[in-house]
Amino acid sequence: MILQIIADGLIVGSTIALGAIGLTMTYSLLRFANFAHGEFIAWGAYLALTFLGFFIALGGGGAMAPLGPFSFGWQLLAALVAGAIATALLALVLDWLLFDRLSAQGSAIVLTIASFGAALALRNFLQFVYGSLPAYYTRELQIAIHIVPRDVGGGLRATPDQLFVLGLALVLVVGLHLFLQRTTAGRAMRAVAHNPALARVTGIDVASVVRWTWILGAILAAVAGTFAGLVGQLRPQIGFDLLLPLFAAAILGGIGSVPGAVIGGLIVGLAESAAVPLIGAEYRAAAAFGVLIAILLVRPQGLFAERAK
Amino acid sequence: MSTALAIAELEAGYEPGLAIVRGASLEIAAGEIVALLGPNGAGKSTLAKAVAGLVPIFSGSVRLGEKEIAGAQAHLLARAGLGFVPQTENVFAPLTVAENLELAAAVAHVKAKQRLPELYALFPDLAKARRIDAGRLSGGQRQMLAMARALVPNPRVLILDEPSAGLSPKLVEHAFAKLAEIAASGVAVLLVEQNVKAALAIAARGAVLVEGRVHVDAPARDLQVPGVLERLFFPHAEAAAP
Amino acid sequence: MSELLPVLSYATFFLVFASIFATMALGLNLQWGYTGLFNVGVAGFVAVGAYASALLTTPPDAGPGAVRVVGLGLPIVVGWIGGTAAAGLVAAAVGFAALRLRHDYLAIATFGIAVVIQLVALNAQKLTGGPFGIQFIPKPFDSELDGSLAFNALYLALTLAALACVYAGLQRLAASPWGRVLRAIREDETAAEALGKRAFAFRLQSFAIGGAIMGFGGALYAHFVGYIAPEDFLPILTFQIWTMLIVGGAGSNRGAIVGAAVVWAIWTIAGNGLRELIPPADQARAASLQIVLVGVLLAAMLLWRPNGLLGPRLSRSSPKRPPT
Ligand SMILES: Nc1ncnc2c1ncn2[C@@H]1O[C@H](COP(=O)(O)OP(=O)(O)OP(=O)(O)O)[C@@H](O)[C@H]1O
Ligand SMILES: [Mg+2]
Repeated sequence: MILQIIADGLIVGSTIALGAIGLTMTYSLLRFANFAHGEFIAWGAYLALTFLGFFIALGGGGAMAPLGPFSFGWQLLAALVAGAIATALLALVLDWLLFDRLSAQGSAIVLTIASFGAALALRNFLQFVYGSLPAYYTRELQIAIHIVPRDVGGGLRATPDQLFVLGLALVLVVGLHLFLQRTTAGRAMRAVAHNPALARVTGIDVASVVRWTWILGAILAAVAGTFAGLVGQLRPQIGFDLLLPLFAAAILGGIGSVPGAVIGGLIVGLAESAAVPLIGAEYRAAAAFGVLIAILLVRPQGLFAERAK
Repeated sequence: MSTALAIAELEAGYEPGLAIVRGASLEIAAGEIVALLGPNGAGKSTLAKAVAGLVPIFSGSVRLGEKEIAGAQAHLLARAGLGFVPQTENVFAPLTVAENLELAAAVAHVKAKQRLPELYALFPDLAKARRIDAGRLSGGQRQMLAMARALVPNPRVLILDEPSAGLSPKLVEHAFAKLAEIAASGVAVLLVEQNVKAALAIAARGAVLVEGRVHVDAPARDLQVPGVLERLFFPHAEAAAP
Repeated sequence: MSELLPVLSYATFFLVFASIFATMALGLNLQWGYTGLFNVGVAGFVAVGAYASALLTTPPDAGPGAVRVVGLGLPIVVGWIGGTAAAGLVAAAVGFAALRLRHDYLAIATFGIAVVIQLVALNAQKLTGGPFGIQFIPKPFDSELDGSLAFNALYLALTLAALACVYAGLQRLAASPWGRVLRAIREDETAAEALGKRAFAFRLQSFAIGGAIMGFGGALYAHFVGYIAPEDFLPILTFQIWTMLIVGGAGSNRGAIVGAAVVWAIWTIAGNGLRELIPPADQARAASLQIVLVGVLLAAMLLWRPNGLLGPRLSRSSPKRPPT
């Protein structure tokens, strides 16, 4: 039982972590809480669905031939990439239409209101386009594999898809960490997050760094959405439902800290799956709120705040 | 000597219609140190930031060498040879010393492999601390790093906003000796300072900014006469006294 | 005369809603317009007021298939007071956790509390009736009047009186020393810091009173419609109230009221228009478009008229005078 709870928590947590990374990056660079970030997750998931249909048709239609033990074929991987790119474009358009103009004239809190409005508009537009019935990438049934036999800690079972999600999330997180630590572009992002004025006089093109941050955040959000759709189902509220866990994870990890967002995401995921046997599955979402309030009361700067101030 | 930086009739400020710098003019030649002095709130920092592209310019001109740069974006100015060291928060605290410098080199398309050893030779303290997060440096080291960071792209003009603030007299002496060395290599230095004595000791000229205008621009030694600066800083003092 | 009747009935119906929304917008104006506190959980506080008032005044379900086992059957006035107080208490609790921190943390915390309240409303069936909500909430006046023009008109008089009271109270508060301190805290961070702990107390009071007013609005709503369910308190409600305040002009009580009327009119017209335009099979989608439309309205307002229709000429970009 206990092992299974941990495993489920990690799988949910990896999705939350990917979303929280993008959120914490835009939060620390642009200095506002972006309530529309959840909609990048939802749009990413649904755009991948659209591209999936396109790629399946391209491959001659019919059913998708699964890759190895997984429930999906190459078409889904291609759709994941295409959906992520399209979501990045969506984020750039939203920045150009709304956030960029507002940040030139107003305070961070106006941006937050605007993002709240944008979130509702995006969510409902999604519902308008795709309808509100649940959708699936594949109808292929997955058999869970026994990873740990039942007599050890209650046993542990996971589907190949779940392991794929966990593995790819890990690869992305490590890659992103190296990118931020080692490359000029990554260091420029950290520099802008720390002090935009100093970044400018150092010769960093802040506007371009901001654009790249939107792109990265949106790509990670789209991947998170596709993962959530792959191990669960697609619903228009998929992003809205993740928003509270994302914020809890980002604040728990310390705004601006990518490793913090990852660990925060995993903790929130674990808290959610541990809460299910305690307070019931229907109150699962309240666990993230519990984590959020606890961290606000005890350590509001988060566990790993990067900004040394 | 050629003029490296020429400021003429500059008006600048944070909000439209509310100029803080009101028609300031100043020229600095290559290799020259000019001290910009003045009472608190005169607009010295605002002038420095306006030249560096951080504060909107309303009118007037700023020339870097032959090029008009008023209104240019800060990051382009930095790459074009204008170095600026802000008064506070002038290093990237979460990055190491080496990362601070490497980042400045990369964005200015300067070869870090060549340039960093030169800077470490100029600031040996930094060489020892290169793997340390800049946020953990001492005040003196931090100021050195801030200067080194601004020097990475080999700027023609270096503007510093109160580099002596918070440093012990010994460290000020050390830092200003470095500045003299930097100027001697041909860099024009605009030194905004409260520490009048130390600044005038290394400067060729001193300019006094009062209420956003340069009131006096004179050789440093003329300003070192006791009592002169007080009168220049507070021109209305007698009139205002009850 | 008989053609006029449905029009009149509809007009009173429309105005009752407009005045209830205006009450909620006044609560938000106290929090945001006067104090600069960012509340993304308006729907949650409204829900607390509505449910609390309904539970106090409605008897529990009886008979077989009874879901809801709580209900006190008290007079409506007690419900209103209780609903207002309950929402104020919840606001005070959230404010206590989040008000000391960066302002955007309050936004996130209020967003969270609204989600949790929605969860409780949906799942605590014994208390809230779950997805079916609470029915047969008592209405004031004679029960024979129910649904008639006379009832609408009487209730309109009631909500207008309530709105007038809240408006007058807030105007007096704003002019009082208490209100002046609030504005100082909002406009001047250094003044707020100088006040230290007391600034926190002022913010907390403002936030709790604002929350209580929203709860009052919720109670007014519950006893007009007679039936509440979780889906009445979705984030779209928060968003509507925000749009009303921004369109009217944050910081102005009159603005909040005008904004409520204008946005509610736009909302209603857009809804009717889309229902006309879109084939009946796609009606659910029409509702989505209605929300998109108002989202765009809010964004456009923020971009081009950030001070709203009646907002004060504003502090956000007021020039800082150099100290002399
Ligand atoms: N970010 C800002 N926004 C608006 N006004 C500002 C800002 N920074 C400074 N000011 C105003 O500009 C005026 C000049 O300030 P500035 O910092 O340029 O003076 P200074 O000469 O550098 O003073 P000091 O010697 O104290 O550093 C002051 O009245 C100040 O209030
Ligand atoms: Mg200054």
